[in-house]
Amino acid sequence: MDKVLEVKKLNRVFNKGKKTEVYALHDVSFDLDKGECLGIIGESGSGKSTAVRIITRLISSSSGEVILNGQNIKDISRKELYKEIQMVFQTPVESFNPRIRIGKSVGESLRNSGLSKEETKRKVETLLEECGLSKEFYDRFPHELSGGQCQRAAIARALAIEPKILVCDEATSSLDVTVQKEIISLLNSIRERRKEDISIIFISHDIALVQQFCDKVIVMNKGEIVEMGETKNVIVSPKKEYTKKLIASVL
Amino acid sequence: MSEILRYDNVSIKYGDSLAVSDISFALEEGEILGIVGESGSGKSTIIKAAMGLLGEGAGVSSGDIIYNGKSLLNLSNKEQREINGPNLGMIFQFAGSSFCPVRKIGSQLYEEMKEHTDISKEEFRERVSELLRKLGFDDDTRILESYPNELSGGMQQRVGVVAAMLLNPRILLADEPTSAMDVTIQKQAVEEMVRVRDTFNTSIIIVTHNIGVVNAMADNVLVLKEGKIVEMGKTKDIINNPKEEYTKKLMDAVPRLKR
Repeated sequence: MDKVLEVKKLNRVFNKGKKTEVYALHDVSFDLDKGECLGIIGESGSGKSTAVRIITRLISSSSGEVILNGQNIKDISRKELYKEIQMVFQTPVESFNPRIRIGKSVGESLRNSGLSKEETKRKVETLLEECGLSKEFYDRFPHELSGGQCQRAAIARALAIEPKILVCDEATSSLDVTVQKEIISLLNSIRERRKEDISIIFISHDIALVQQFCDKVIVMNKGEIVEMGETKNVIVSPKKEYTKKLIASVL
Repeated sequence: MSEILRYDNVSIKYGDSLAVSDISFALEEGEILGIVGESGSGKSTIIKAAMGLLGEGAGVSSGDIIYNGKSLLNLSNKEQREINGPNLGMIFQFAGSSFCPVRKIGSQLYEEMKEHTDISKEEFRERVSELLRKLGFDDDTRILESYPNELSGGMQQRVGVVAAMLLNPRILLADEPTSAMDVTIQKQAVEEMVRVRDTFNTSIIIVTHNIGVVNAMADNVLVLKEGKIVEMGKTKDIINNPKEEYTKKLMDAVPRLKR
């Protein structure tokens, strides 16, 4: 399969005090294939979010490269980058501007890319529908939506510009299990429809969920990749001590 | 076993809106009861009612909560303070932030103890060391001399359990005590609570939306939906053979690890 993203020897160093250096990420390398769903698991502070924040250029790396479709992400403008990569965050309600109606938020990237008002509205309504929200949500404010509905809208917003990569950082962690299940089946249906046109990086500390949803998985600890491979192999027969310990602690 | 806490047809209102309606259950000594349900189902409201923590404008509108043969409703502040602590202990979701950040753990635990009993610093030290040892901490001095931020999340939560257990309450009420935690830390906190029950025969009510946690520690479980009890029974029966549609749907939504 073709690679859509290559991460090479990514490092991120924070200075703690004058001399001690803390590696939030240490030599992290992995590839993401087209149409693939990659899970990242690990405890809090293991560097999961730092890795994807570098990939989405929310923060910068200390060294290393991120190659998107053969191009270093540092060589492309943010505007171009966000046509390819979009994010869904942990707290759905807070990730929307509270004073802007959902429809306008979802359509912002389309308007920026030069679509007319009418076209944008039509497209946003289709998108909302694809994500299981009826037309009437277009004119609502974020606080008028439940957490699950807001997360659906956030996914619609992320998909609007038709990115090649969707990054979900603990996108279901603040939701109830029943709502979580709905969001996962939404993501599954999107994968089915768009096939090779969408790859997903899915960060979660819920190992069972990653097992259900992801093709491949990366296990991180203290900024380093401990183990990486097909989900079914890594979770059922982990090779490293740390992975074994992590999986054994799932209740 | 004998009954220690009983809810009799309890309904709770926030202003005019009914949050919990017609809840009845009984808690035995040494029993661990799990309350599960989605956000907004009224889980926390139920245990807050026993502690008198519902706040202004909210309260039990009908029914009664009986602790040890005595009603917990309409208590004066003073009476409630005598119940909370020595009789009912509470563990919160963020134990770390329920401590004052600029004072050492030891001095905060001493303050808590001093509020309820006349105790000298030496006696306190002896008692807290003994409790810490019983609960499996091997370096009690380090913990007492630490500021909250010097302890890991798991340690903070374990110390939260210690703080609740210091006055040796007969019931421990735990409101989502493991929700903000990683799986490894979650396991420590669950083991800590089970150790408390095994050591002191304390009854525990644990409110959580994590079915795995309930499965690992609770004897009985109560499933709540929109303020009403959907199903109640032994944990393994409810989790493996739920009878009600809603419980089935809830259990079905839980991702399970295939090992």
